[in-house]
Amino acid sequence: MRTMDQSNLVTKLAIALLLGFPIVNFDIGLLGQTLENESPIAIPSAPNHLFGSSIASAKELIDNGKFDQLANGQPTGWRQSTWSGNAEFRVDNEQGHTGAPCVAISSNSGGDASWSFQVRVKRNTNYRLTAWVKTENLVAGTGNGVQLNLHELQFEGKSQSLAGNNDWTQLVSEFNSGNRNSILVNLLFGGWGQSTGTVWFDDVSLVEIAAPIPTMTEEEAFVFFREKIKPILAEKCWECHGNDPEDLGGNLALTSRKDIHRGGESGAAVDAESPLESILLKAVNYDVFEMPPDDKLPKAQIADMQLWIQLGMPWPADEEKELSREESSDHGGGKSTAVDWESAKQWWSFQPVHQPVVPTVKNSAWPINDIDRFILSELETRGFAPAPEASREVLIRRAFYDLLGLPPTPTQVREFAADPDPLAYEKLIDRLLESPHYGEKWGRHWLDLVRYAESNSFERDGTKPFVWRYRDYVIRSLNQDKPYDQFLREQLAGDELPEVTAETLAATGYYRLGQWDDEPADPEQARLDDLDDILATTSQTLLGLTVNCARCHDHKIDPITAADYYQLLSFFNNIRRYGIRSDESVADASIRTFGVEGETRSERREQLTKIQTEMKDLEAIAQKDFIPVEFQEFEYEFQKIPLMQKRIGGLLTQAQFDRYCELVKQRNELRDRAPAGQQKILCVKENGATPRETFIQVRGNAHVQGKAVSPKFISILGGEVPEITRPDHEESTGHRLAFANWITRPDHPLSARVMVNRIWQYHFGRGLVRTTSDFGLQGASPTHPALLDWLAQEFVAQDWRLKAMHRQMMLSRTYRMSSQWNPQNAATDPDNDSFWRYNMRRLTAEEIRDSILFANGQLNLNDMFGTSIFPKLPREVLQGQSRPGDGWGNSNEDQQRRRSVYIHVKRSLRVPIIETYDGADTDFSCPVRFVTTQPGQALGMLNSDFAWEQAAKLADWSNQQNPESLERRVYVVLERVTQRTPQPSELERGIAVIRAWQTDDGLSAEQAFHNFCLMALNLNEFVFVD
Amino acid sequence: MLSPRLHNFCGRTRREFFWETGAGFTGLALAGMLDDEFLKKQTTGADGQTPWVNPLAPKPPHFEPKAKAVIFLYMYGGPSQIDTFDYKPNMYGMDNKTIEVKTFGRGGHRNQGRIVEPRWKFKQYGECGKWVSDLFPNLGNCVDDICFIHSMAADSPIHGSAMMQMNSGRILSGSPCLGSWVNYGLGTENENLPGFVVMLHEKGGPINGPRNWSSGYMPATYQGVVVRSEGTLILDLQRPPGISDVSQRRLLDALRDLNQQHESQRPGNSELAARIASYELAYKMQSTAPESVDLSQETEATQKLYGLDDPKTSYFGRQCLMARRLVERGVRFVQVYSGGAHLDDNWDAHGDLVLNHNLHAGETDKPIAGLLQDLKQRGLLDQTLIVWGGEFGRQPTAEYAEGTGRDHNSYGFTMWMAGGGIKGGVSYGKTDELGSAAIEDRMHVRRIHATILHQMGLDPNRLSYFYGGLDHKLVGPEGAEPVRELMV
Repeated sequence: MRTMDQSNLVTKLAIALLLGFPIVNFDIGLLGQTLENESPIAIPSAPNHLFGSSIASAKELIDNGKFDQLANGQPTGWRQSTWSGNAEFRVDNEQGHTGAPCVAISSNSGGDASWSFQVRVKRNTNYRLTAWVKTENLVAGTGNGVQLNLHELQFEGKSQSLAGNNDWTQLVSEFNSGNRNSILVNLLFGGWGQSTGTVWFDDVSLVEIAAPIPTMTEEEAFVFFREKIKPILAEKCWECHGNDPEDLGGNLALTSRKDIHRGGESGAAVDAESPLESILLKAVNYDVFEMPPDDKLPKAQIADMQLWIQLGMPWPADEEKELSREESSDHGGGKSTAVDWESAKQWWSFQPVHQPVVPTVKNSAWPINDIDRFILSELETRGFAPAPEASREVLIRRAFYDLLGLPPTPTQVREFAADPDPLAYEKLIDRLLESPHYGEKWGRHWLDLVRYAESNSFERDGTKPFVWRYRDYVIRSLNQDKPYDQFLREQLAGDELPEVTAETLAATGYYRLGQWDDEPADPEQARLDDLDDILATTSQTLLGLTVNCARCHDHKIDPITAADYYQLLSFFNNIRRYGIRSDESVADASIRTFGVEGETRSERREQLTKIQTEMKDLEAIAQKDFIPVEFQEFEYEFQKIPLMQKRIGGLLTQAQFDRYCELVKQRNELRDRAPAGQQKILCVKENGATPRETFIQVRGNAHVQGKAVSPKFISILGGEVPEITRPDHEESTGHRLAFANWITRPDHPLSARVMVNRIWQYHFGRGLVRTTSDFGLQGASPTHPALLDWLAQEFVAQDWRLKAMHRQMMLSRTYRMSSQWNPQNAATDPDNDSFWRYNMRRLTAEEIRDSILFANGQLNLNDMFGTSIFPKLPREVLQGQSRPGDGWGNSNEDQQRRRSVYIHVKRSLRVPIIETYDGADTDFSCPVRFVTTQPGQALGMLNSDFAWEQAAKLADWSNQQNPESLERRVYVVLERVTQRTPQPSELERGIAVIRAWQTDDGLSAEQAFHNFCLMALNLNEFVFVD
Repeated sequence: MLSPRLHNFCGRTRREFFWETGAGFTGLALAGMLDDEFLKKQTTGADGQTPWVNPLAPKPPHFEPKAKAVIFLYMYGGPSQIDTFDYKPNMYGMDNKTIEVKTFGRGGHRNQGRIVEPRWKFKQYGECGKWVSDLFPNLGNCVDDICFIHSMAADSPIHGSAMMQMNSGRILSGSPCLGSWVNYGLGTENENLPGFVVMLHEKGGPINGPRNWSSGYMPATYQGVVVRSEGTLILDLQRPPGISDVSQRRLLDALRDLNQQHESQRPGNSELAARIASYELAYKMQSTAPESVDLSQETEATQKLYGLDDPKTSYFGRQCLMARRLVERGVRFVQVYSGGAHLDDNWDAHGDLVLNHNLHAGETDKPIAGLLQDLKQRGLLDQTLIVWGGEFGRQPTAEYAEGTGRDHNSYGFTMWMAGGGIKGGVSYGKTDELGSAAIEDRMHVRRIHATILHQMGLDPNRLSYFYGGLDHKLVGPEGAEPVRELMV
């Protein structure tokens, strides 16, 4: 800190006067400028020198420093603490520094002890602690003898130490309170070790002393600003709080005093009433905010900042730059300054869906339905010829994969190709839509969007109980062709509907699919993170809006304010967290038993108690030699068996351990199986019918509450206040139902548009709006806006039924086009924006695995629903876990052959074939799958145990077709994987390579054919759909 | 249709945009939008015919890099700073004393604790005179090449979330790891090898498992590939038993013929050609990858240098030696885990501190010193950034009433870096007298991430990936500056 030679000072400004004087209003105008701000800055006045100044009038903060207030013989307010060793505390009524009594500590054997007093203090303020001590035969030993210190400060502000024999001596400690508003004063005996002997303490005093505020002339104050403060602002602050008026961090500018007083999202940066409590000071002290974020300022610079603020922020007028801007967002629905609201209001996706005029086209023979008229009209405008219609062989394969995610059999292809019925195609689509496997394919699309996973992530990555009921709910709902609005209402508020069923409860598992930290470092942060995850998924998936971008500040691009975010959050804020830590807490917060209670319930409870008692007995045996950390670990379910296992041969016999494992299994089965007539359901629960208060969390900080907000819909979409009806059961607020009703309003501008766009995307390879989860200003505009609206209104008119939309789209001529290349069209429209051809696509990860199993006749299509399956994983993959194999069960062969949608989705362990072929991410909503091509995929398809075994099964399957010759056998395999008639050249190539393996490499006929089947499963044609 | 805003705000490339919108990596559209520079770098499939754009093709850095590769020696579980490199002379003689100190670990928040004084003596080493504990007699000799950071700070003292933060920048799961960011930013120099390699301890992976090398919301192409020093090198790299190289080549030839026939009828679908080419690269990897980690090609002296002759150090030693061979061959990011599984199988010394740290330091001291010396001898240290550290450190006080176990500590801990344009023989930042919290030059995890990216030629505040409506960065929305004081 720069100190001024006082003799040179001209006290032109009555800047700094010491404490103890009343707070006075200080006229900032004295610095040479007048602030428009009405409130003058108050600073504590102080005489003009440093420590050692007169403190006669300072307020005493320790009100029993003379130990003369006694209650039951003990000084009030004082606490005795023995930190280690032994020490004796007493009140000595015989002596004292300025008269009895005083207090003493003594120890013969060695002790570390203190008399302590808790004091409230101001932040960032200097204090002086003094006490008089007397010592007798005091031997410091491993400690310090006698010392004063401040509990919270540890090393700063401890006094000197004394030992030996001393008559009354004063010990002094001066310190700054920093971020603290309370401090524990310690009169230490020993201190940092143990001492022996006796110490008396008396006349303890704690007073505030002035910050060393020098008196400066205006000129000196400006020099101070230029030399000390401006460089800090320029180097550390202005990058975010000054350089770009359009993009101010926290909407705060630090470029003029006016800006600083006006403040940003967190209010005024400098508190005119009590400058030492200013947010700016708290921020540089890393209290609540941490600014500058990269590195805390050195202490000296923090002290300079504090002094500058205390001085009233001297700042030459010509160096101030007030950034002209509107008043900062008030977070009460105030509008983002980054966004031009008037033009944003005109953004296409916020407009009501209109019934567009179906265009007329020149080639009137081409369109089959209105979709085609929209598409063709665009093609004609651009002078493009649409691709010819695909062959029936291509169409049936395309339709099978699109609706079922499975290939047709060669027989089905042949029959369809030869079907003389002119309506054969229409009938095919109807048939496919009736297939139960439709829900398995389209359910997976939905599971991608809601980032469906069956475990929690983090250290334990525990399995979510009964989560598969949600997956089954999705598949069943799609198979039933449940109206989409109902589908959403059930998921968002299935527990608040007039009629609650097991099905609608399971739907609310929607809220339980995200990651869950069962051991959060900051529980409130974690709760808000969970809700953010729900809000992000909900807004992106259902509304096509990235509302989550407004969590910390107003959205940078879209007209969505932080207030919108928290108003939307308040619909969900009363939801109970998934659990606290244990399995029991999850059961309590997220599981309901539904249905009529069976008679077996008490029986079950009895059984459960019996099992648990026996388990406890066995655990008690093993716990005899537990070290402390093992007791803690034992609280976690997944640690129990390994810790028991460690004791085999020691405290436990193998038989006891086996019995224990058996008991665990029995208990789990019992726990997971609901009583007869009932089922356990993973679902949402709230904290009762009274909503939890919701606040704007300033800068997204979980611990800085801004204004309170209440449920309100997004302002750009009307900002209505919802009508909320509390459900009769009084177990929840009814907020979510109000939200669900809003989002499913037939006239909602986004819900229907977003969903028809997704259906289009899944059929045609890309959405009419390419950014299918972002219909905001940074999203892509629709390539065919009128068609999008036509589809949206049609969707609502068709009672929000997906199958009606599939029919519309798939029966169109547009869908039936081939993927044939056209160099003329491609020259001007390489991305196929105008849909001049059908987009070829690679199969998804699930389709690839299912197709392999289908090709070799292994796919188990009969088993639908229920608990998930565990395909065998390579040892190498399991070894990546901290406990290899943990949480990955065994499924029998039949189960392992089931469709991929039933594979257990474990966040920390993915099945290689699903992962390498771009399976959906489990932690974020996945609106579009990546399509990558990389050598890891090839290695897996060539070398993995899975590929090798499935190829063998394909060879077995080909044998079962009774091929009369090698040529015939090659034929059936190629036909099976391509679903078309193999060409002679292909057969020849196949036979040639098989012969070469046999004759040149010495392989047996079976080995050679096994290789051939592996090759067949690797064909491009197998994994691409025309 | 791209609105102008899209370019302005997101800063994402068209390629990222297309990933998100589903056109995929290899869509024909891609070829049209890449600049000539990129196209020139495009390699050809191993068959010499098929054009091929490897998603991991090298990309130019933002500026001249100091380091070509990173080897992150991950001390999983959290080594104790005051027992390793953060010398606290005043703590000796303080054993069992009660001290008032705020701590936060698995056992929650505490205001005081019982001191466990450092259990090892410290000695001064090197020209810089750095004090190093007797846990590292070999590494002590390398201090003049090492930059110690004593003021590390993280947001969570719990393994699950702290591991996520050290590896991916966020305490939640779902974001790409540091290695994925490097892979995404720079591609790989050697297409026959993965760009991001992870090596695990023999006892198992760390908690969170593969989440620790996940590419999160980026394509799986960028995730870490686990490379083993024993058994199968890389998952699925070995041909199935009974199929020879020649036989497999025949299979691939037949496959290519049929695929080309299929492709020839479908012009304008470049993804078909790309897939053909990817098979050729996969084939090539099968022979080049094992060679790249074939330690029998190393001299006996080199093997000894890494401690391959001693069962205690041979496992980690092999991994360090493999790491050197991999970075020599162009791998960008290698992460080697010291310790795996749970509790004392890694540095998580809740029970017997002495037993635990003797074990893990004993396994790693010599191999790491060997790695530093070997890289230096070969002139590779300058371009290889070595990073040492765990997800947090440990408290100066005891976790329980008895014993020497220390709880987790994210308020202050030590990491070190060496090579790759980082100064040697210096110590940065300080913890308090106890070693419990960073008090000077506090360095948040974000800043070590920023520093690592910077040394690799990437601007941490520019390297971004657009996902879910936000421009994500490894260093978070607020950004972070690399620590220039550490750089040569």
